[in-house]
Amino acid sequence: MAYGILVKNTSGHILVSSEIESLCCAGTAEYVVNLHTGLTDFPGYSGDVNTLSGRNVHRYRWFGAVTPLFFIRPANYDLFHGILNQWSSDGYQYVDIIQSGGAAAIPTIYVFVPPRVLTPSGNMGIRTQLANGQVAFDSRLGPLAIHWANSVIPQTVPCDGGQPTVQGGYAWNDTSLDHDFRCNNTYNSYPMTTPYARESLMFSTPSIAQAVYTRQKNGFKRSYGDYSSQDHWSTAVWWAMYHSAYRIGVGAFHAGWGVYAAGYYFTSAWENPGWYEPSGGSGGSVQAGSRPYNDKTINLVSNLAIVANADHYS
Amino acid sequence: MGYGIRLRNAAGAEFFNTDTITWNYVGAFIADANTSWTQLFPILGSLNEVLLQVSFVDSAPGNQEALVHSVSRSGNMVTASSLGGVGNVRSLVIVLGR
Repeated sequence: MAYGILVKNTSGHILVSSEIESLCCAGTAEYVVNLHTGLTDFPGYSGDVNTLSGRNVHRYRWFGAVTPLFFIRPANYDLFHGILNQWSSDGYQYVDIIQSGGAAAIPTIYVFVPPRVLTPSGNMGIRTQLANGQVAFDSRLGPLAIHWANSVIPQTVPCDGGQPTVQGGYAWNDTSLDHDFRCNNTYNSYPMTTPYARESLMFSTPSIAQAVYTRQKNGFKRSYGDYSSQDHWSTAVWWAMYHSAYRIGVGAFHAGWGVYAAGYYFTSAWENPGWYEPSGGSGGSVQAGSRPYNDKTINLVSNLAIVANADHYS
Repeated sequence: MGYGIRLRNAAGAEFFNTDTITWNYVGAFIADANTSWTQLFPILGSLNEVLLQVSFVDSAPGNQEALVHSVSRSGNMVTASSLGGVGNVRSLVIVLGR
């Protein structure tokens, strides 16, 4: 660097440099719609209450051509959130946010972009430019002050009840759900020391890890008549798909999960005992949704969580 | 603060303090589906530590496996790789450094 500003800490880390384009606050994103809500229990399965952790998917947009860095300021800090995806269309930058919980608690989404696309007001402060004259830092535009950043990863299996199984040996037509598919308490915790109040903080963390897990109960019964036996089979299946989601805890950052989709199906069938037995019949079934893929967790890699103080930009 | 920069707004509220600025935004790029991409960031040569953030660009499908790219940094380059059966969707890569 021949000229400009270079600020380092005592560890030699570059904190501010006029050779690096800083991100600045472009305000908050416009709320568009709640795409999905509910999912506190299994669709098509009766009798269960709060067997899933709930899901909301909120869509936001910001008008501009550059790719922003979006930050989530939760309305409820006990819930998990994550950036599902972001894309551009018709001049807008869109982002979908997953939020756990059965009821919508709409977070505020802050937008950060390079200062070259923003217009400052006022005539005091610090401004630096790149060698080509492009603005790199402008204190009038609310430059992003990243308070904490770390690589984080959720646990492999999202379910609070651990990994569900496929098991036989149950009674015919056993449809009682016996696995905890909720995911409120399954997360990895990363210590985070901060001088700011928890309710002041916002974070940017993509939700890329996905998981599908299934509980299957196979039922069986054999009936005996005067001349033969008759076998009965049943299969009850509950499945849930999860996306990684995160929250700011007390003195810690939590990498966990939020449920994204779920389904249930049940089949029941029995043998035809033949003409010499009085009973007979055929099977029946019920189905609610199809499982996206066989049980596994994908995209389970450490990803970057960024935390900043939202009060600085409110 | 013994040294550094501290900025306040017109109301006197501090909003920028080099005591708590821990990372800088270096840049971002999008890697297309089923394609590996290497992006040059000259400033990375000056930075001791780098963090990489990966996210979906398009809607995360709920009916198939969506695998993001595998990302890595070497010198002043960041690579998003689709080798090994990953990267079958578009991935957004954001680079931080200090």
